[in-house]
Amino acid sequence: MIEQIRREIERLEESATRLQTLAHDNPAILKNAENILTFVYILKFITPGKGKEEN
Amino acid sequence: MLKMKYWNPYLETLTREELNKIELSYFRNIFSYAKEHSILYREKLKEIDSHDIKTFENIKKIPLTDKEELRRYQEMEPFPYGGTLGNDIGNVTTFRQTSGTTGKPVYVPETHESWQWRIEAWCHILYMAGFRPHHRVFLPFVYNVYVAFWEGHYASEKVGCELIPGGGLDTKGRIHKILEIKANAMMNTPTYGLHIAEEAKTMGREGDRND
Repeated sequence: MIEQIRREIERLEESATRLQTLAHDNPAILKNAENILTFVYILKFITPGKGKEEN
Repeated sequence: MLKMKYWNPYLETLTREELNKIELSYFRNIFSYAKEHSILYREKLKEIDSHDIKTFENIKKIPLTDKEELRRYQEMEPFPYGGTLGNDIGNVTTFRQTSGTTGKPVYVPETHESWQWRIEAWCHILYMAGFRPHHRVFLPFVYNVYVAFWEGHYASEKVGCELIPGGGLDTKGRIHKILEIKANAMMNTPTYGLHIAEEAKTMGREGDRND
């Protein structure tokens, strides 16, 4: 189960990062994507992989 | 971000026609939500169906809500928001209230989600007023339960500014703090801004600048 959760978190991260690239000239979208990434990093932190280095 | 004119250039440069279409659709959604989730609006709007709202002219037929009505419905259960509440009381994360200048303050419940919406709306206001990430913003008020400056506080952060909460000090103390931390922007009522300027003169600090 935790592996599936981590995959979903990674998808969120990829998606939010793509949003930032696409909306590079829109401060509102950029900031909201950045906020998503903040929570993505918290999600990653609270679901650590076993014996694996985090980026 | 510095040179951009709009907080949300997509939304803020739509044509009037496009904007009207989106506003009508959003209005219908919030109208349905209010009817479904709040006793006040369920009773008040029972004769109107969201599908009947097709134009801005239709909206004019919807009865207005005044603060007296909100106060009256807030006397119901659940305390303290009563029939105005549009969410489960267990989802409310913050209590705030209106300023109370026209009577008993209206209590303002916020869920975490609803609060994020308010902040997003305030980002437009601050960006339009010229606030940008290089600003160190001094907010010279004690916010307490008063809702508006909390919005300014969090929106300022979201826009990317560095916010200095300047409550809990008298005017002289605030002037000292503005100079000490080199604040280069301020969010305040015009009258209080003038008062600070006058006070700075009496302190002999009117020539000091935080550029």
